[in-house]
Amino acid sequence: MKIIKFGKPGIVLFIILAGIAMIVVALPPSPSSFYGILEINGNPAPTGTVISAWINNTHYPTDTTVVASDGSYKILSVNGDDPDTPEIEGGRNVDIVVFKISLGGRRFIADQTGIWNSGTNQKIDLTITPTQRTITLKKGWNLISLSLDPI
Amino acid sequence: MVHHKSGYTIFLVIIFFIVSITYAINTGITSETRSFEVKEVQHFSISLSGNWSLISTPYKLINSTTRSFVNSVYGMDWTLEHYVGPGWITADFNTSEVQWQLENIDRRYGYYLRLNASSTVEIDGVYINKTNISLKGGWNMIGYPSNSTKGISTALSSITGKWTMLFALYNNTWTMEDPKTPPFPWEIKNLTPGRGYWINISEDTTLIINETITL
Repeated sequence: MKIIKFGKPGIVLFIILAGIAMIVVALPPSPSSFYGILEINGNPAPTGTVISAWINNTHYPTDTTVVASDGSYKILSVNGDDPDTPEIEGGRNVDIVVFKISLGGRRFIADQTGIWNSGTNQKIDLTITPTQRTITLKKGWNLISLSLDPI
Repeated sequence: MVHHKSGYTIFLVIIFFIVSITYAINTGITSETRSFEVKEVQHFSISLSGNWSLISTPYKLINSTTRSFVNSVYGMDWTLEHYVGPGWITADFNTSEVQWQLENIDRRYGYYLRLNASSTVEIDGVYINKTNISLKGGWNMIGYPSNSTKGISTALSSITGKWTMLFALYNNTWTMEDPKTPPFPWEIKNLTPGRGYWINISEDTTLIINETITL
């Protein structure tokens, strides 16, 4: 009889190879965490700026705030998905994490993305670069429109 | 006249009593009994191998900040995580204290601690005779605030019939207890001070850890 145990938080597997029993249980997976600084237009983001993490356009309960004058943000721990349930509660390994920034009622998407990886804490320095669009106008009346990316 | 004198005296006596009572109330010159509970500060060590463990503190910590809790391993590569359903809070050696979402350690809860090498977490605190731990339906990451190892049925007697599964992770090895299944080699037999646990609850309830202190 041999017992195999995998120790990574979130997945527990017990096997008796003699065929007596096998138990596989998914606990809430250890999160994927991110830390670093946030710069807006090359300057540290002001205290109170809120950063949220999104995977496949779904927001998980992980908001964090910029906390220091250097623009550093609190560790952002992004939930993982419980494979035992039909619902998607968070990320799975190699999912892309999009960071959205809320500041004074305005919302932005960070230039960088993260990769969800359970039990890790990755440094990602975030920046926001304002998008500039050029519309060429001719003399006289012009019919124009502005395209906006939903965030 | 006598009447007046007598009335004046009575008036002065009443004023004196009013002034005296007001003074006593305002200055706190009253007789009362106060009782004090003296608790001895205890030291506790949690020896850990590298990698992940699920730990807790058996005490109410003297200094409950995360920074104090990890002081003995602060120079190492470490990560501390706690599940506050439905999300997680984290502290990590890579970041400064102001960046930690996990700012305090509470004896009611369990915490994942990852170390890159063997070490010992050293803590100081006081035992609390009785601790109530509110549990929500589903998974809860709990501590075991007790000064003694107890059998599962005794330690979890306040929630008998309401828990469906219990897990422990210590020095990278999982153990579990499922009250519905026959005993397995990996069964948790006792709850141990310093360990943390995942417990699955069928309905919202309160776990009561009672402690008897021997002086």
